[in-house]
Amino acid sequence: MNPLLTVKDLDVAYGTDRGRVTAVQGVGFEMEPGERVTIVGESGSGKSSVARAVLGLLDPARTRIAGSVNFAGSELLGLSDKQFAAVRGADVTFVMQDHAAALNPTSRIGRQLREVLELHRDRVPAHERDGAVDRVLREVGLNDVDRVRRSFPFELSGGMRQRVLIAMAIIGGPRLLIADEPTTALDAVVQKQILDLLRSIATARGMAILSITHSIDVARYLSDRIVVMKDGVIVEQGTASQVLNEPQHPYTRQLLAAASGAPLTGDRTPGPVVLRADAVSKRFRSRARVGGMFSRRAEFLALDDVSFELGEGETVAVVGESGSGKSTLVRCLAGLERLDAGSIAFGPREGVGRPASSISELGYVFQDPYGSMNPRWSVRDVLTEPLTNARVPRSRRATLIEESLTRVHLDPVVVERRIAEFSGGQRQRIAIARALITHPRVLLLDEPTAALDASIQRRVVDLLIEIQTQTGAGFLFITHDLTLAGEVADRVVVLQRGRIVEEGPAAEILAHPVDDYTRMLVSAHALRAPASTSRVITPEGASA
Amino acid sequence: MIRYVAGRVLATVVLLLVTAVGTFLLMRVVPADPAQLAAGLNATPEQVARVREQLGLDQPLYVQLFQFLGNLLRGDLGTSLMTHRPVAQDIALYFPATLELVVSSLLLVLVVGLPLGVYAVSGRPRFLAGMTRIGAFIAMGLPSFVLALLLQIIVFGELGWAPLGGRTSEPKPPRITGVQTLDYLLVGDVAGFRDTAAHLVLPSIALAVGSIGLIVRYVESEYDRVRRSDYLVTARAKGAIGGHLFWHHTARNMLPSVLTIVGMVFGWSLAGSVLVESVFSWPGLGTYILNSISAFDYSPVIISTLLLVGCFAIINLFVDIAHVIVDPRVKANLA
Amino acid sequence: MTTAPMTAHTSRMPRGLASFLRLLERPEGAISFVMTLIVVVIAVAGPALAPQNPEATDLGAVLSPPSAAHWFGTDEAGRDLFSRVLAGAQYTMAAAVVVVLLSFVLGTAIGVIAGYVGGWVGNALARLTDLFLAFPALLIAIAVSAALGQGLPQTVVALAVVAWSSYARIAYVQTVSARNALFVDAARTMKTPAPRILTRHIFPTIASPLLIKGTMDLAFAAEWIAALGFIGLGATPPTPEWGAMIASSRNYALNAWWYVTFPSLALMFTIVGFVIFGGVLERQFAGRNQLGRRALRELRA
Repeated sequence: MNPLLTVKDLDVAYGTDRGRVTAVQGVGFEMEPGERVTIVGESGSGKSSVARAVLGLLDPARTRIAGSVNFAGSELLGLSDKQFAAVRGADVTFVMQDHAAALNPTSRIGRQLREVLELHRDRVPAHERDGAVDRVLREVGLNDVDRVRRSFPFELSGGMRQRVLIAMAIIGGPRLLIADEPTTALDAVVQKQILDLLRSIATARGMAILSITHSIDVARYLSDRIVVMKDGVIVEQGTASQVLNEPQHPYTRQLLAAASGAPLTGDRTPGPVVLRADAVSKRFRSRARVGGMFSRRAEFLALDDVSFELGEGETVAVVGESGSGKSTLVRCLAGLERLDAGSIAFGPREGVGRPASSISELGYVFQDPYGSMNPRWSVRDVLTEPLTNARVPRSRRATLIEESLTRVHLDPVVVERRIAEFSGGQRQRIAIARALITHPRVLLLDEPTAALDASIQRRVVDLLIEIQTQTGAGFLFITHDLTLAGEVADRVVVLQRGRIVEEGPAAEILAHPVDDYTRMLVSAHALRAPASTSRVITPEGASA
Repeated sequence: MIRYVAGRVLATVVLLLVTAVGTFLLMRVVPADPAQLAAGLNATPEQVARVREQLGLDQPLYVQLFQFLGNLLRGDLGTSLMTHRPVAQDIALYFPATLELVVSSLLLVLVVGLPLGVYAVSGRPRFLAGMTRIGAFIAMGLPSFVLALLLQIIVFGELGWAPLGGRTSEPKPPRITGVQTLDYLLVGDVAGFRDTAAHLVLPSIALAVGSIGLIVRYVESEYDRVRRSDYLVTARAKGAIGGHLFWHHTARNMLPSVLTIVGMVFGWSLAGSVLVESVFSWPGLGTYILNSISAFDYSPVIISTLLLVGCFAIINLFVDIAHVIVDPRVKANLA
Repeated sequence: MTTAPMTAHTSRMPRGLASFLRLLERPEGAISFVMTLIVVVIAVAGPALAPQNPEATDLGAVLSPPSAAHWFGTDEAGRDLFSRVLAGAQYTMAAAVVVVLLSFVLGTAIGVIAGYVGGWVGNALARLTDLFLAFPALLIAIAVSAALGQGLPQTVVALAVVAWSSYARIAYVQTVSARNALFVDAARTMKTPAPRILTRHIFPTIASPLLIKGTMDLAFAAEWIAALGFIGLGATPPTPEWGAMIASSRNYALNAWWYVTFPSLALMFTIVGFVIFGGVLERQFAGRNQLGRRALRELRA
């Protein structure tokens, strides 16, 4: 059978202010009709550029493309924009990463879907187009067809928008669908639903899927064949089982090792209670007024009667999806929001509970390493701020700064550098150093690794584990990633819509979830090869 | 939607009220004694006192304020000391001329400025597009009255292409709406129309140039922002190109900001018209205001300013309403 | 495992100087900078640079064209136009600077307070700002000027009264978003006191759009001052203010082209210089509001 897509010797280079940057070099692979191939790589690997080159979406004025992209017998590179446009949207389609911005905000969904058929008139005759729109909406699981058709993009949830994007990509009956990070911006549960949807559509229509992702787990779930890219070149490609179970290239092995880690051994007995939350509730008033200018604002309960304890040296993971209230909880704990009910108390070593009055009780690490520190400040400025607030005498400061940097494995000479000069992973280390510099008894971490590349995530997590062993502080982890929680935490607390639905030892919850919601979370995260049954591949190739 | 409009109308009314009170108070700050001026410079103190009583100027301030507001609402705008006519009549005489000038200038701005703004971003050849950018800055930097003067000197004085000033060469133009170009058309007098249009050209250009610069800059930055959007990539991935891509996707999403800018330009033009009118002896509201100022006749100044601010506020109201129609997200922020 | 620093530090030049030099690399940057520099120097040096007394009349040389004795010619009272144009720079620019300073300080203060304090105070101040923003500035300036009478100081006050609102708006919007920035949250979790948050976090972040606007506004303030002078509301003759000079020149425009041309050119030179310079600053610095990478924060949409 003739391959559907043949990419050969593909080169892509961008002209920037700093000269020519090569994004892709010598890339070549094939796809058979109906086959599912995933390109896996971290940011900067060139994987997105490959996808856009295949679709002709790169700006010819600023990019130089060489090589061959052959689709169903015709060469695509070198086509005029008009000729390419006849292929795009109908034979080869694209689903973008950021669903929030990918739809025209001023145009209704129905119209945007119909537009595909209007641009490719030969696919569906005019009088059948509305029916085609309805059918494709149902196919992607949006059954409230009338409402969705008349909606604007901002009126739909993230998952629904992603489905609409998929609908737009299949309504023309394409033979190849290219999906760029189709699930990155979604919650785990919705992620799984979307991936299942893609699989079933592809099978039903005999459509080939080329997906681009940084997540090895998505690749494992979705594809027949995997292509691994790093720094613009392909380092390895083969069938899924080949690449996943017998990786040849060290980089592939590194990716796999980062994706699944061994769980912490662990029963550690927690020390005395250092943080206690008691019946905490928090209400939010929304900005919009429901029903016009003179009515009350809508209220919703972000946290509803939340109680738990954190002991010294213990790690508790608070797990929930977006809207669960976990971020609100952490902000309340940090003193950024006022409680409407309940109390929060921090306990000193002596075991008597009292509210956090000194900052040395609490350290906070934010999710976004790019936003949580003023980029104009130097490392020294950043680390000195908590010391100044705690009125630490100047004589002690230099030592504390050096000590905190060493602890996060950064060379103390970097104190003079500005934050803007550091990478994401490095910044997160500085943020951790800042949080620890006053020797707090409690460390709050809000999704500390979500914004980082997979390989860096691993290193930061290892660092955090090491720090806890050293300092014995209590860690409170907020995350959506149940698997990560299982690897790192002693206890897990599951939040849904502001209430605790289940809590208990981490291993217990993952193995035998009781509550329905928890069960759904666990099965959604089963995308990942569960840690207990995966073969952990070490860089040397031996398995543990 | 209705609630939004009601809210905006309320805000506009508040604005007008504040302007009215503000201008009234301003009137009282004036050093000259209005009673003295009204009575004339040679009046005896008794005559002045009588005039003061007549005009109600001896009442306490808040009483005068209520009288003023009451008069406003009734349509009694006072009498001009200079023209000895009711101010309302003067305004009916002068205002249409200003409208004519501002509207024709606005048309020029839109027709020239909008395409140039797009061209500055994506036009070919590149160096011409770059020059358009610089040109826009220079245009913004040209003061309208200087430009008006220079146009007058060069185009009329040296080249003799356009008339010096005023609205028309004819002694008795028709008077239906007060907008002469329109009036000539309504009457069917083509030669008169051409003559009055010729008089309109230079003032419109002088008034338009600054705003053209402004609009080119705004459209440029807005276009640049929109064309980097992700939804454009999606549209291209669907197979949209060229004109369809531009009008249905890019332009459609630029519309809200363009509307805002048009409102701003209208305000700029209203204010700038005062200057241009004085250079070209254009018998509009600006000239009326300036003449009244020289004659220390402040009541017409206040009323006219109020009128212009009111126009501006109403235009903004329409722009806001148009926003709600054009951008569905606006409605959502309030529902 | 110690991480070696990733970026190699090439030069030890102060950051500000480095980005300033980059400004001058583009032709419009260099040209506009030179233009504004010339204007500033002349304005500061003032009449000291003038070869003759700007107010000295010479009725024997009324309305004479440019010559070796009078580079720009003379006006209707025989005064040397070149000296008057140079002196005018000081009047116009000084007034413009005062207008911008007043409105900048007042507007920024109101905007920052409204943005940081929030609540009903912030709301009220924001509404007040919107109210003033809604007025077409020049119109109000004319009205206020008329009420206050002729004279340069009155013009300055009239203009500042309306101009502060646009600074307030920018300061308000910027402060609100800076206040919601993650690093401000971080400072609050560390119990950094509010004044220090304002000075060390918020001000540096919001300063650049305001300063850029201030630079451009110098141009517009100069234009408005000249405009008010032109219609007779600003400086009075024989003060050598550009707008007033242009107004006087109208009567003799067709015979004495130099009288109209040179003050106009001076005014346009000043305005265009500052406008382009402000535009160059905007191009260079406006994108730099680093309040965190949005893409990452909205990852969990």
